[in-house]
Amino acid sequence: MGLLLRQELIQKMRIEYELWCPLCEEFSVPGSNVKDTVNEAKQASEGDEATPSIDLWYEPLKAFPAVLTTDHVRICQESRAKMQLNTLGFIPNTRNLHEMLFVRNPRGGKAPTMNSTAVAALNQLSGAMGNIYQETFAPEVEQRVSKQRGMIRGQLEALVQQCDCFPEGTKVAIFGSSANGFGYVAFRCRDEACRKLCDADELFSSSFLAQTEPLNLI
Amino acid sequence: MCLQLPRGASFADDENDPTGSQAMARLAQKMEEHAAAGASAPGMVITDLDTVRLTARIPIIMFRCPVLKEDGTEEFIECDLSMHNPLAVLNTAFLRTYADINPVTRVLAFVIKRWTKARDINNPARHTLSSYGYIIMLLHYLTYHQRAGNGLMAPIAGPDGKPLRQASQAKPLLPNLLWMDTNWPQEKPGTPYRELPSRPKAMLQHPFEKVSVNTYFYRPGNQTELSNLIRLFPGQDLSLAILLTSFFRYFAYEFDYKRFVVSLHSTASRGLVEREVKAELDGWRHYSAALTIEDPFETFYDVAHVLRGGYYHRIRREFAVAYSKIADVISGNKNSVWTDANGDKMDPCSLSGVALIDWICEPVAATEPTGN
Repeated sequence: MGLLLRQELIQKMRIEYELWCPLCEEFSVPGSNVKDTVNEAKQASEGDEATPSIDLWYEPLKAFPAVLTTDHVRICQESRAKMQLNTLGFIPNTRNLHEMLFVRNPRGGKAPTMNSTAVAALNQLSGAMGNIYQETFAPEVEQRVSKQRGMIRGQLEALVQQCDCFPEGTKVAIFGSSANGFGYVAFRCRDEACRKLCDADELFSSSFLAQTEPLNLI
Repeated sequence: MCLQLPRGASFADDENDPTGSQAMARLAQKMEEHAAAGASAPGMVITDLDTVRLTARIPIIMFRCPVLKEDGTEEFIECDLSMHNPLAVLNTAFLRTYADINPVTRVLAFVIKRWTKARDINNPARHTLSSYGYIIMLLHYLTYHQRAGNGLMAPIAGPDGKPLRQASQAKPLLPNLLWMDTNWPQEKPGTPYRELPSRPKAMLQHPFEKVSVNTYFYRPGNQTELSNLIRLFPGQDLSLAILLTSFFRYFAYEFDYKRFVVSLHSTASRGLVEREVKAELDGWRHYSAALTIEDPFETFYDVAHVLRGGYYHRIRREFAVAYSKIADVISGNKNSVWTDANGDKMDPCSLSGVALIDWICEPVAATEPTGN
């Protein structure tokens, strides 16, 4: 990039990037702090001229000096954070997991070391996710509910078969969240009704709904 | 539940009753007679029979069945019975296969469901996504990402959603059951993951549209085949927290919803499915500011069609909120501006794992977002 564009242009683009929020999908208009900074900078260089009113997000940037410092970047970041707080109600954290999990090796080696605080927080979260899941889907509750659903299915099927408006061999199948493994009561469903789910049609004859091993998640 | 007619069979009065609503009405009458007999009738007890949706595109009978709990108290199981719907049954078997391969998928789906309900973004009637939509998003994430080698995840395709030249190098976290080479799971250990150059055809006439649908997917035919998949795609060594965090990040910041479609047909050798292609092939809206999700079998169907621009922004914001909460905790961000239910500034760094889940799934009052 440095070979294609002048350093000042790259810095300018960096500053503009700092004003952009991908969630709000707009640039922040630098607020009063920036305006003051810009005004001060202008007054110092051009005397006491009246400052034009700021209408567009990039207007204040015109007054930034050619050589930008980290203070200018910080001002723009603060301006964006202010807009995000107003528009979204929070300030998004955009740091990626790699940045947060790995830190530069203090001994100067090439391989980064893991941030033990971040690892501990993630392990705690993993443990909590596994525990809440296990508590919610206690096997005895699931078995009871799936057994009851299986009974209802079987009795409904008997009722359907007494009805002459359906062809002989019509079956009742459980589908959707009760049987797809992602519902609240269908996890580890082992009853006959669930296994019959796809046997009812030749098209699905190879269906195999196996039970999985006990969870070992962490 | 749904009725399943034998293959090739039709209703007694197929010509005058193409949707089966009349046959269903007669069944409802029989169920009503059964319900009226009450406890004296053999078999189950039916209550609260509701036939209001018999005239819908897919006729449905809704009812409740009382069952006795172990402590002797009575509870009701909500049931509905719809007309023959082979695609829905097929979809159930498809998702069930994914659930059986890896328990991690189910735990993630459970937390995501809990989060979407708490944050009021799981209600298609109010222009947010269905649970099915979120499950497709999760499966897209898991079939489109691989282990990066450092405990983190990376996309299987090239940068910018482009297909990889050597796609066999990329083994996703979960197999793509629509495109995985059917011979690969049976080959000797260490054989690189392979995708099919073209998808086999298993055509099924759509029950309500005048189109045929390719219903092919790899389904284990026996315990050995399923065990092979479980062995080849282990999840126990993956961090649930990293997967959840990466999932939130992917849909908050990384997935370019203006260019691409959330699709289970996104693979290493095919790259991401582009909106431009869907617009041309299936007439999907191209320039709307909302996410699009392709149904795995009814590929012409946009699962996210209920979304409008403003509603999608709200969902995307929720993904970013969830990611930011986790990121602030793990990065120890002391400058965060989060407040608790009382409006007091809170320190997220001190939260335990359970408290963090509760915080991510903090209930929000149901609101109507502005925007179209």
